[in-house]
Amino acid sequence: MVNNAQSSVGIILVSHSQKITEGLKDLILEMNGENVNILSAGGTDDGRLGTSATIIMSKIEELQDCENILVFYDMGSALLSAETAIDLLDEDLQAKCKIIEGPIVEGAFVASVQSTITNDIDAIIEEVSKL
Amino acid sequence: MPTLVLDREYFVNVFRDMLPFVDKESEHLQQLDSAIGDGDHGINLTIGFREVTKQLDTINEDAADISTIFKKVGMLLLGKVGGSSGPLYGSFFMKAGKDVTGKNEVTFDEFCGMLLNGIESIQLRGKAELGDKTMIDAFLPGAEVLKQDSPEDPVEKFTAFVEAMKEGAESTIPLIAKKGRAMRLGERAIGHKDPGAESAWMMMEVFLNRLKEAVSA
Repeated sequence: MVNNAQSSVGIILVSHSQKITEGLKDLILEMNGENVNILSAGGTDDGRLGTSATIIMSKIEELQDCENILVFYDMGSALLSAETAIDLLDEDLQAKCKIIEGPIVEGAFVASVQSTITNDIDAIIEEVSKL
Repeated sequence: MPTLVLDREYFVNVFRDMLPFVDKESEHLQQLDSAIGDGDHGINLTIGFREVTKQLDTINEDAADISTIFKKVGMLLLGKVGGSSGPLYGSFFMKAGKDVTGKNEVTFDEFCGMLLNGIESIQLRGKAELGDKTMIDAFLPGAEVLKQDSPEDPVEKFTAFVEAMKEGAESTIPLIAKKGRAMRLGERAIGHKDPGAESAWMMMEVFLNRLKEAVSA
């Protein structure tokens, strides 16, 4: 599932709305020429509005070959579910995940562009934090 | 009275009772949540426990112990519920099972310990304090009761536990919310009971009802 073997950064999008995370994923892939590892993890297991720790968990697992995985969330239970998902992962994979504070659209966009030019995760997070 | 021992059948029966209970209270929880939340608390819990009911027999057949049953139920809630109560109640049940690995029956004191582990996980997950107008306002007073030495009659202690939680839920009415959507309402949240605190004590009452049965059996 890793699109770009060069990029060791994965991005996970979490929102109550699957439309939001799907739309944002499309937008970011469009703007980066499909060159980033980004997955949508919005909505519940059955596609309703809401978040699902089990979906988030399986999406993170799909990106397990990435060296670092950044998790962006919007609001409400998105953070609770993202934290729960990470708690349930194997320790090795847990250590790769970082939940990022910041606006999900702009934040994920900035991180994705950065991920095409550097694997320095601290530099990427630093760029996002400037938003 | 000999020490009360609760077998896995007790817990399976409690989980079986959850769907009829949330179905019955769905409207009530929905109304509370519509006042200050996003109005989906009742339906979210119904969807979660509908899935639990659907899979309960298989879970019971496959599970090696009580711990696994709790973990499976918790996982289903994590995936299905959708709102904040998903990760909170999901974590509650998963962590409630963590100290009873390999066991197919537990003493009443062990059961109280399971619930305390669950409550601790809700606190860690939600990071809410007492007075934030959340389910913690019900769970923390309840936890104080669980920590006390058990009297002769476990039903007496568990009734006191549920009562303390119920009073805790009532105590959320005059509060301004510090978490969730209701936080954005400021003083508008005053006068409304927190739906999570309400569903919390009600769910514990489902455990109580089956406990009364287990004791009288």
